[in-house]
This record gives sequence, C-alpha cells and structure tokens, in this order.
Amino acid sequence: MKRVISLILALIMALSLVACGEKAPVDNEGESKIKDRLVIANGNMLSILDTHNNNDLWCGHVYSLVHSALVDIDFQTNEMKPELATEWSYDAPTMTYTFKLRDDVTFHNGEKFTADDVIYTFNRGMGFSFKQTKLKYIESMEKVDDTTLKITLNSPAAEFLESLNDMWILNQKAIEADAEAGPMVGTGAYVFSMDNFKPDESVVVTRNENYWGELPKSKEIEYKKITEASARVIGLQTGEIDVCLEVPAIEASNIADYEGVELVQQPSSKLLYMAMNMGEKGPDFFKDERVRKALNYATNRDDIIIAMTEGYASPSQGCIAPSMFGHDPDVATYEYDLEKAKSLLKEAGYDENNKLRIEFIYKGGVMAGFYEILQAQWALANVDLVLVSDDSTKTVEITNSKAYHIYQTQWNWSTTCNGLDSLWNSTAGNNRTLTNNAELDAMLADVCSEMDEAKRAEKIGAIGDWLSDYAAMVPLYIDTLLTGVGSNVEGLTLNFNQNHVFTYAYVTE
Amino acid sequence: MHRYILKRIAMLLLVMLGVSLLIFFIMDLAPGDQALMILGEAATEEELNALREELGLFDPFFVRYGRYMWGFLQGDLGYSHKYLSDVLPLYLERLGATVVLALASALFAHILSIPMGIYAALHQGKVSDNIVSALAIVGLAAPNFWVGLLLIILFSLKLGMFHSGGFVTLSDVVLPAITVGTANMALLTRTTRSGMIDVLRSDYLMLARAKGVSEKMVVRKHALKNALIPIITVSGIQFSAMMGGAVTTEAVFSFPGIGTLLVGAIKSKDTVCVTGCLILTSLLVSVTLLAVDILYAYVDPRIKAQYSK
Amino acid sequence: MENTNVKTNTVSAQKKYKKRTPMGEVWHRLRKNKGAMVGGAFVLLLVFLALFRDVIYDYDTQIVMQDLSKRFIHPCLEHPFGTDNLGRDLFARVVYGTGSSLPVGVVAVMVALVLGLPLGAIAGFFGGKIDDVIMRIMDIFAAVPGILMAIAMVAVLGTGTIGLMISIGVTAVPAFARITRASVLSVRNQEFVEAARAIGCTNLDIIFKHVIPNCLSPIVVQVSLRIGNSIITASSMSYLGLGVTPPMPEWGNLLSAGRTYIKDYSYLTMFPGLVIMLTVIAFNLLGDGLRDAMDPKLKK
Repeated sequence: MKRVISLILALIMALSLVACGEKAPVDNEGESKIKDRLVIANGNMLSILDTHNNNDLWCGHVYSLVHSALVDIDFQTNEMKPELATEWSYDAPTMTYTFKLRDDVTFHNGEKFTADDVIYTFNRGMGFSFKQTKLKYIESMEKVDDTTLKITLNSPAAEFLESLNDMWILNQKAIEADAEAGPMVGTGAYVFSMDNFKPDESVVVTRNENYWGELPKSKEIEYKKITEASARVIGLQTGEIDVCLEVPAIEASNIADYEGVELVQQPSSKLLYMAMNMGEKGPDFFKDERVRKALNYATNRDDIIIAMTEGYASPSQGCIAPSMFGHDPDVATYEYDLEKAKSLLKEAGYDENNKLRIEFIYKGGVMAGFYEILQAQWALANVDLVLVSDDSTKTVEITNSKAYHIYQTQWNWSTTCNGLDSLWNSTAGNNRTLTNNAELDAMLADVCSEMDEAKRAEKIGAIGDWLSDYAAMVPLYIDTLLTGVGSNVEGLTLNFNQNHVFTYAYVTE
Repeated sequence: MHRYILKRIAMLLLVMLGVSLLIFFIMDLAPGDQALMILGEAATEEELNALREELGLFDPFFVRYGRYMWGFLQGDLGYSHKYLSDVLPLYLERLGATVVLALASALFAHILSIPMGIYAALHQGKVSDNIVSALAIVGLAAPNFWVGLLLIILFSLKLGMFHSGGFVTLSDVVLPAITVGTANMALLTRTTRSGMIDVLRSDYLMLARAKGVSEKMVVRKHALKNALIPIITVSGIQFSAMMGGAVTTEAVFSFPGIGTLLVGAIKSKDTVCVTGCLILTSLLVSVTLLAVDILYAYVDPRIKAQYSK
Repeated sequence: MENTNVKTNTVSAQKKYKKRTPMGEVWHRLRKNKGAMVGGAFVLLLVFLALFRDVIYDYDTQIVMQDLSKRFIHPCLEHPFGTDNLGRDLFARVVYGTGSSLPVGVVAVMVALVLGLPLGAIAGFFGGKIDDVIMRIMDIFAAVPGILMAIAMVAVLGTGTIGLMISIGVTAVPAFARITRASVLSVRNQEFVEAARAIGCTNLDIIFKHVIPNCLSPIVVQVSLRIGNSIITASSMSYLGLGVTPPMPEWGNLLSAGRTYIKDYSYLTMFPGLVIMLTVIAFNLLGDGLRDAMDPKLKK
C-alpha cells in the first residue's frame, strides 16, 4: 500500500518537475563577468503585440528593444540621432524629406530591410487612431531606390522628424505570415519570440546576434510583471530584479537606505490628469463651463500630492508639463478654492440638496487609492463621485463606448506639439476629453506647422491659456520618477518621459 | 468494486458536462465584449462586428456552446485571446506549478499537523491540547495574503533566505507552500486529534493494552493506522481543492499557478480559456476525490466490503 | 414537535428538579464551555457594533473625513490602532467596518442556507431519482473551486456588497445541501416521521415541520463555522479588488489598502488582520461549543 502511494507521489513529482524544468536559469560562466540576463520588473508589462494599436508606455519599453525606427531622439540632450536612416534632408519649398537608409539591416525573420518596409509601416500606421496623429502629415511616399526614400508632407510639420522616433519599422511579410506576432518582428537589438512571452507574467527577449548596431552586452532581457509594489521592491533588494520601475513613493527611503541598490530620482514630464467627457455621449453637465471650472477649483492638488506621492511630485501648471518647450509659467491655473467651487456649482444648479453625481473610471495600478482622496475632496463641494471602474479591462470597454463621465489617466510628454495634438485633436486616439472643437483643431494645426521656434512657443502659450479657460481637464501633478536600480547595473539610460533605453544595460557579477 | 468505480466515472463525466455548461453560461451572462478585449479600446464598430462575426459571437448560446464542446471532445480546447496561446499547453504549463505547490503545501501541513494532532489526542483536555488547538485555529483564521506578505518580509527581505516571488527554482515554492499549508493545517490537526481519540478509546486497543502492548506501540502500530481514514479524506479534499490554484497566495507571490491564470481570464472575459481550464480542473478535482475513495477501500476492508455488495 | 414534547415531559417526570426545554438543555451545556462562551460574547459584541455603527460614529466626519496633518500616527491613546495614510482613525474604521464584514459573512451563509437546506432536505427525504438529480447538480457546483466560482459570479453580479454576498453564498450551497441530506437520511425512517405520515401530514409538512427541526444541530454548527470562512473569502475578494469598494471600510479592504505600507507602518495591516483572525476564531469556538452542546454523544 505504502509503495502505491509513494509511487503515485513520485510520479506526480516527476511530472511536475518536467513541467517546470525548462524554467531553470541559464548558467554560463564563459566570457566575462557580465550576467546573461537583465531583469526589469514593473507593475505592468507588454500587453499588446501590435505596435500601431496603442501608445502604451510599458509596451513601448519592449517595442524599443525589438524594433528600430528611422531616427532616434537622445532625450538626455534632445538631439536627433540616426537609426535606420543614416542621414536626412528637408526641402522646405516642396515640404519633402529625403531619407538615406541603411543597407546592412535584416529583420529578425531574415528579410532585408528596404524603403518598402518604411512605406508599408507608415501606410499601415495611418489606419490606427493612435498613430494617425503623427502620420497625418504625410502626403505621399516615394521609393527612389532600396535605400532612398522621399516623404512629401501636406503641410509643414514642426515635429515630424521627432515623432518618427517611435514609429517602429515593421515587415510586411512577417505580418502577413502571422497577424498576431508579426508586428513583433523587427530590426532591433533583441528578438521577440512567442515562446518567451507569457502575458500577465513576463517576456524575455534574446540578443539579436545579427544586429546592425553595436551588440548589447546582456544576452537576454526579461521584463517581468510584479503587481504587488512592495514585493517588487523586495525583489530588487534581494537581487532577483535589476531594475525596478514605478517604485511607490512610500518605498523610496527603503531603497535609498538599502545596500546594493540605488534610488534614481528624476523630474519627469508625466502629467497626471482627469479628463471630463466633452463628447456627444458624455454627460450634459460637463457642457456647462461653470461645472468644469468648479471641479478644477474643488481639487486640492497639494493634498493629493502628499497622499499619493509622499511629496515626490510637483503641482501641475496648466495642461502642459512645465518642463516642455513653449510652456508658459504664467499660464492661468486654478488654485484650490472650495467656496468658489461651491458657488459656481450652485449657479449651475447643484448644492447640498441636489448633489452632482459623477462617475469615475481609471485603469487601476499606480493610482489605486486616488479615487478615495478625490471623492472626499469633491464631496465638500457637493459632488458625489462614484467609482465605476478601477480595472483596466472594464475601463477599456467604457472608454471604447465613449460614454464615461470622468477618466483619470496620465500623459508622458515628449514633444509639445505632438503632445497637444495627441491629447486634444478631435481625431486623436488619446483624446480622453473627447473634445471636438473646430477652433482648437485649427489652433493645433497652426502650431504644429509653425516652423519658427519663437512663434511656436508663443502659439503654444496661447493654446495653454485657451485650455486652462476651457477647463475640460483637471491637471493634477507632475510625477517625480522613482526607479530602483541595482548597484551592479551599467549602461542604463533613464529618461524623463519614461521612454527608458534598456538596450545597452547589463549587470556585472 | 469495479462496478462502483465505473459508476463513479460515469457520474464524473456527467458532472464535467454540467460544469462546462454552467461556466459557459456564467461567462456568457457576465458583461464584457470579447471582441473589444481583443481589438483594444480604439476599435471601431465595423471592426468589432467583423471580429464578432468571425468568432461566431452572434450565434445563439447553445450553438456556441455546442461548437465549443464539439471541439473540446476532439481535443481542441480553443485559443485564449488573453494569453495568446492554445488553452491546453497553457493549462498544462500552469498545472505543473500548481501541482508542485499543492504537494509542497500538503507536505508542510502534514508534517506539522499529524504529530500535533497525535500529541493533542494523547494529552487530551490538558493545557498543551488547548494550545495545539488554538495554534491550528490561528492558522485557519489568518487571511492568506496577509500571512504571505509577512512571510516575504521575514524570510525574503530580513533573512534573505528565499526569493520574494515568481517560480524559477524549486525553493521558490517554499513560502507559498507555507502560506497555503498554514491555512490547511487547522482541519488536519483537528481531524487527526479526533480520529486518534476515537481509536484510542476503542475496545480493541483496550484489549491490546490489556495484553501488555506498550502505549508507544499502541499509538504507532494500531491507533495511527486506523485514524488514517478521516485524515485521508481531509487531505484528499484539500489537495483536490488546490488543483484550482491558490488565488490570493499566487497573487502575493506572483506564482504562475492556475488561480491567477483563471482570474485574469475571467476578468477579460476569455470564455474559451475559463471554460477549458475549469473543465480540466474539475476533472482533476473529481479524479483526486475518486482516487481518495478507492484508496479508502484499500486502507479499510470494511469500506471495500460495502462497495462490493 | 409533538414527539420532542413527549420526551421532555418524560424527562421532567423523572427528574423534577431539572426542568429544561431542549434549547435550555443546549444552553446549559454551552454555558459550561468557556471557549464557546468567549467566542459567543465576541460574536455578540460584533453584532452590536454592526447594528449600531452609525450611532457610534458619524460616517462623513469620523470615517471618511481625511486630515493629512494626522497621517501615519502610530497606535496611541487617542488613536488605539493608529491612523492611515489619509489621517483617518483606523480604530474607528475597523469598528465601522464590522458593519460591512459581518453582514457579508452572515448574509452569504444565509443565502447558502436558504438554497442548500431545502435542496438537501428534499434530496434526502425523497431519495431515488430526485436525490440523484439534486446531488449531481450540487456536485457540479462543488467541482468548481469556491473562490473562482465567486469571482466568476461577481463578474456577473457586479462588485459591491450584494454581489459579494450572493457570490460567496452560492459557493457554499453544496456543503449545506450535503450536510442537510446526510442528517435527513439519518432521521427520515424514525418513528416520528412515520407517525406524522400516519396522521396525514403532507410531505412538505413532514419535511419542514418534523424532519428539518430534528436535524438542525449539524446545520447550526456548519452555519457558525461557515460565517468565519465567508468573512475570509470576502477579504480575499477585497484583496483582489472585487470586494467592498473604498472608502467604505471593510476589514478585507482595510487590510488590502494597508499592504502598501506593510514595511514601515505594519500596524495598518496588523489590526485589521488580527480582527479578522479573532472573528474567525470566535465563530469557530462558538461552532465547536454548539456541536458539543447539541450532540452530547459527540462529547467525550
């Protein structure tokens, strides 16, 4: 009898070992003292494989490992750098860019990279609302030869070149062969494979030995999802993780005091805000300017900063991140003024007997707990804030229906004009206020095509004032980025807009 | 005996059919749009309708269910849109982790609770008996995720003995196993204790004692074996319950078990994944329970005699 | 009830100095069990707090009102459990949270009872095909792991107290059906059932007036144990973000909210955790005591 039991147990054990055997870490003592694998942990991870179908920052982290674009921006110096395009020129009268492309690049599937791939990618991207904002300036594309491409614009576009930095070049054959994973076939330094992709868990990319650029030192990079923030930090402290993104503010001192790990603090361009739905399916009360302004007055940003970030943030100044080009420090802002909020709401017909009921949605994650704080603040102004969704899945559904009331989210500003256009243009995928205002659209088109820097700054300032007065957005604060990094990590570039460059990061033993 | 087993297997198939229908139905009732989950928030109505058409979401409930089950019976468990993988390999991969966790937690729970139960039974009514019972209840009463977090802080951060999460090496299973095992200990201890008390009072042990068998031998040779039956029942139920994963514990330790897989799938309305995994889970649960029943028959001839009637 | 009355009468005839109803007898034995009395007293206290929470505290000013100047005050006389990240008194929130957690546990078990008891009784009483059909359906529900079933149900019913209660309740139905069935099986062939049938009672009458009252004791015990269990499940659901929504305090979501601060301000998780633990222990002690008191044969 005992034998039977032990046999069964042994069998189960053996089976389960087989099942998890492949997870053993890769050991390789050869070469130098560089660890094979760099491990990055975050509360979120790659969730969508189609680079065109989102502007998601976390997805972007993996995209930028796997893909290359025509040009790159060095966000440390704000300089444009060649990537797949070695050089480019712009002819102002004909509004035409001419790109000279690299000749020595192959995709991960073995296809050679040519001008056709660029044309295919841009044409495909125009079908997606997230990329359309950047690509709408393209009038026509012409392949001169495999390594020469001419792109003619339909109007001057001040930030056209900059906006190409995350327009990763895809391969038509790869996408036709596999609609799902095809967009993850790139020309980048690391190779993506479905076998190493476990949604909601982790993704491992392996070094592309045929990479056209300098070969990175890490053989593999793992991007892991650890939802529990304190567990993520502990993982960093115990050395299981090399880079811990989105460190909760409460843990900052724990990391700073811990040996072997460092806390990187940097001011960012990440603006957290709430968007009131101004669209057709939005609630009627937001059409009343007094309500929108009242909510701006009713928001105590200083308290929110303390409660949400332990002070690791700076108050917003208008709807544009203060560090951005053209931001006007004198832009009109709403200081906390409860009485004013109350009287505006009263004028609009809401008071303690007739409270304004607003439904609130957000995607969960770092802003957990925010709802509670805001609800208490707005309750003082006779607003009844009701949580409808704090779950990313449900929120996707509600945002798609365009019938929400108020949506909390964030925007990492990279370039001003593109940011403004992405958040406010009536056709933009990230336009969460669903604003459809002809006057604003015209101003945006105007500023985006303004090639003169001084004039552009002036126009940006004017839009900033217009947006403050419009008040459909409640800007909250600018996050201070907190990143935990192991002391043995080298080559990591952390950028203010969270477009971090992991490609050349490695861990020494 | 064989007829009994055959009857049980027939019942099991019936129950699984019921489970599939129930789950498919619940997932169908749940709000949420599968097509939207696949295409993302920017999807237009035309794109969504095209995909819904392709996935057959416009068909009536029973047509969809029938189509799913037809595929299932042919070994095609379908494709999970949430995890971008066929359901079967996905399930099997997670099952490995889940089985390891189930075994490890059972090991931990048994190693502690059987001696504790015996000890309490032998010292029945004394202070030490009460202390053991109290300890066991504390394990049961403490919320899992809380215990898990405390364990991470103590063993991972302060002592640096184990990883804080994930499942890369076998030692990663230790903390989750303790967490789950702690919760399971209470019932096991209690069952062992009461089982032992029952047996220790029985006439045949009185006889054994009267014949001069030492108390040690009474406990080891006679009592424990007879007290095993209720323990096997409880172990079986606990082990089978673990086949569905330990949802909260997995969440705390980022442990890639079946629990988190299913929670993610339920939340994103991945009906195919949820139904497939739950049918397989309930199959495993039922098979484990059946195995326990058969095991009884071997341990206890009285039960075997009953079945044979 | 006729039968039981006869019994008591005979008992009182023999021992005139001990005149007790059956319930009195149970109470008498229960009173001797210290553990059960402590557990019971704690449960009573919780019930009291749950019923009168709005008398004790004002929700708007004492429960959800934030005061950032009072963040993270460690436990002291003024704030026995300390204050949380928004400067709210944790003691008040835990006490107020009793009124969220206890009802979830109790109502969930009631849901299970209302569905499981009749089903189990019918299955046990009639036997045969009816028994087979009902118990197979119960098997189907039991085959799906409880918390997963609850999560799926919450997806249908929506998060929030009501959805939580029903979801957790439904997962416990098979357990109640099985226990009821087993005890009905043990009494259905006894004389008093035959007697009732002989005087022309309908089946329903027999089940609800004669059979069920005579097999209540294991059910009462199960209710007591299950309430503790349901409170734990509810707190797990809150941890997964599927439970009672903040700022309404509930033990599970208090514990869950405190986990961010577990390293530096461990009291934020310690107290809600301890309260959940004590409550479950109390219900267990009470349940054990009831079992011993109601079924003296079991007590050795």
